[in-house]
Amino acid sequence: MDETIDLGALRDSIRDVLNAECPRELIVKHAQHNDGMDRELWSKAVELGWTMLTIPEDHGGLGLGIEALAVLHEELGRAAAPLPFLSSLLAAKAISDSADAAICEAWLPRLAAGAVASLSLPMPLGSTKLSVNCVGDSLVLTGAVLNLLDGADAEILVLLAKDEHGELVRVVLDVTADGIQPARTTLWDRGRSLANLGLDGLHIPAERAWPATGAQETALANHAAIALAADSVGGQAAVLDMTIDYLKTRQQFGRPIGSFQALKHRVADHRTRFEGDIWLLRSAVSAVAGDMDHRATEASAAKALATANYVGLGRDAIQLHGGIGFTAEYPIHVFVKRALLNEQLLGNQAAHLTRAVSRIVEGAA
Amino acid sequence: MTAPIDSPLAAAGDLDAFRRALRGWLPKAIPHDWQERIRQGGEPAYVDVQREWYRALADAGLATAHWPSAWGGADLSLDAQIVFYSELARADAPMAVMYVVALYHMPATMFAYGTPQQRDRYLEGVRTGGVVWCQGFSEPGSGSDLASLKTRAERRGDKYIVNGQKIWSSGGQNSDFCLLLARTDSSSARKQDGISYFICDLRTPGITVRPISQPTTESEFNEIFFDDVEIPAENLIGAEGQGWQIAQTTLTTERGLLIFECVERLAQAYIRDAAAGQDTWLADPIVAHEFATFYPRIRGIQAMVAQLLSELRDDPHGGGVMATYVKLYWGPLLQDYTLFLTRAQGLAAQVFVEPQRCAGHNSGDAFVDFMWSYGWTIAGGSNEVMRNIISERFLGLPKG
Ligand SMILES: Cc1cc2nc3c(=O)[nH]c(=O)nc-3n(C[C@H](O)[C@H](O)[C@H](O)COP(=O)(O)OP(=O)(O)OC[C@H]3O[C@@H](n4cnc5c(N)ncnc54)[C@H](O)[C@@H]3O)c2cc1C
Repeated sequence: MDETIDLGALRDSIRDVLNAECPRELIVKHAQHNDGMDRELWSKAVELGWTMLTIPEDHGGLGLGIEALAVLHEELGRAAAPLPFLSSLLAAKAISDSADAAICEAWLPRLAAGAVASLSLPMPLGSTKLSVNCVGDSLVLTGAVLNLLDGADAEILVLLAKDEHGELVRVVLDVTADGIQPARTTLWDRGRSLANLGLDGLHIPAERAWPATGAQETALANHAAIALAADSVGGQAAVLDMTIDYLKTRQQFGRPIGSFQALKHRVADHRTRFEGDIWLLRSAVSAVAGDMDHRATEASAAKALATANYVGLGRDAIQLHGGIGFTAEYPIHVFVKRALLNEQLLGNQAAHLTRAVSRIVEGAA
Repeated sequence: MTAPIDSPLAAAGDLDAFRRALRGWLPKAIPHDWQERIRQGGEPAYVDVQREWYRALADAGLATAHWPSAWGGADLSLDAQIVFYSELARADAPMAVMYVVALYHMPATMFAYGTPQQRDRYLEGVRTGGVVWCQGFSEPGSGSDLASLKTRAERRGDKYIVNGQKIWSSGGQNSDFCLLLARTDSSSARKQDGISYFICDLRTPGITVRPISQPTTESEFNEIFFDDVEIPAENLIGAEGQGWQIAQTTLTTERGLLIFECVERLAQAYIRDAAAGQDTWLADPIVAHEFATFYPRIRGIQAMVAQLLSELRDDPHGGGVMATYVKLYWGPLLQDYTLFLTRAQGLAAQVFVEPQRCAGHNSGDAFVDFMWSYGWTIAGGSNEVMRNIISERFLGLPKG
């Protein structure tokens, strides 16, 4: 990994692009008329090399680490951008962690070049209804794959399956070449979607599979938790800005509503809680980057805290805006929907709290 | 100052060595059976333990190690202070609460505004004499609106004559001196401009200190009455009318380490509570879930305090914004957690126990700890005052 990258500069450049290319009007329109990713915006992100960010240099990427990933997701969250980075970069990590040179060489350059990818999420650990069996030189996949994030927009799928010995493996599929199409589930958060896929004896070459170790799946879960915490930190920054601006300008009873203590004190509390989210996220990023013992508990704590506070802030932000907050034209609802989804993705509060206290409370996962 | 030969301070140049030295030293230095002694012996035992503990710290040069060496300290680095406080928490040492004003607020005020004579006398008094100080700022009519204070100090020759009343002075009944704010000019256009700052010897005739009973059965804070009390003019700190400005220095002195120690103690208590509740309240899944929700918040405040300390490392006078967020995060968290624990423990926590003073805010007696959490949410700028500061000064929302 390149340690010399200037994260501040990276952040500024991503933010500038998103301010220009993904303004609030765009996400509002997107939420009204589209479902899933914004392809035009994705092409711009690909052109700028954002899909290369965390892919190893040998395979067409920039080889940056979790610090850069967190910055990217924080800025994507701030814009509530309808882009499939969470799924695509996580799928890329699953592939590069396979440590299988041929697999990396076959798939990572495509991902670096902008192919959208999805994967079976790594939490709850090892849960899959897909079975894989060896038949001669091929593998045969049968079963259901549920809730693939951005799966209907993906070209590449990295699925988790169980083999005849009960061992977990990851397999990589090419939607077009393998002739499959995950079916889209529309979500309230229109910037993302889920998809389900049924496979009934799909044959793929044996070299498209590798053993999914517990360590790899845990590492994936940690990355995903950090990405979601970062998205929730960025989203909160945006909602706070929007809300504070509104409280300064909206006048009632002859004065700005922000002068009412009943309102400003709530904002002060949200802003204070937000501070804890920021610094716990930073701490979790260093724990994961430094491979520290508490990386899993820290990542889950950061995810649980930031997503819960994002929901708490978001729901109150609608209230603080009054009627305008309850319109489709005003962007707040886009963020609130994202907040609610973030809290459920990759394990809900209970799952992450259980994981977070697992070193302290006996019997927790 | 050179450290006594067997003091851990001799190793302070190397953080790991300092930590090891503290781990060796603390078990011998901490007053024996201090928890039990205080539980049995009440207020007098508490004062004894405080004095004994202070003496041990002072003999090792640790009590005032954070002071500049020019004033008898050891210039102990912030990182070494962090090690020191985390080891105190780890060893479950008594908190030196009786000496907080003497070790932090008084010296910070003196370093910035004291005359050489004042510094020599009062810093030395604390360092070698264990002189105890308290803070006399609040009044019955002036709490959050401190600048409205009414206690008067009138100049007469080389003295000031003080009349009025202070309230909520922590540790006043055990103190030798008081940091006193009084009004020297009642005609100033801004109420802040008429305030002056004094050193007040609490043994001066005309002073009455009266402890106030608290819900925990303790009397940790006091009323202080002033009836024609003479204070020598040389006890004025700074200039007449400068008191408000100086008080800001006093109030913002210690914004990192004391809270760091409290937060570390909470983090340790959380682990201890999990073990203690394992077979009882924690076995209930609904309670266990609520217990788990505190973990990310505790890690959140620890991460915030780490950030605050790193800001203070770069600028010892900085960190003001972060310190405000830390205070408003910490007080409610402590209160939520201690209340949670009180309720989770059921009737067991309802049983009266003698409060264990100076055990910090996580003494293990959940009910007492919950009661004491109001110290953090009311004193030193209430939650509501913090919310005003954050919303108006930091976020730019209009004043009401
Ligand atoms: C345990 C403890 C120890 C203390 N130790 C000391 C000490 O050693 N020395 C010392 O000088 N003082 C001490 N204090 C006093 C402390 O600083 C004051 O209690 C504090 O400043 C609040 O003042 P008050 O009690 O008069 O409450 P008030 O100011 O009357 O407040 C009452 C309520 O009104 C709210 N309120 C007040 N103003 C506003 C506003 N503008 N907007 C919204 N809400 C508002 C407050 O938040 C509070 O909820 C101590 C207090 C406690 C509880």
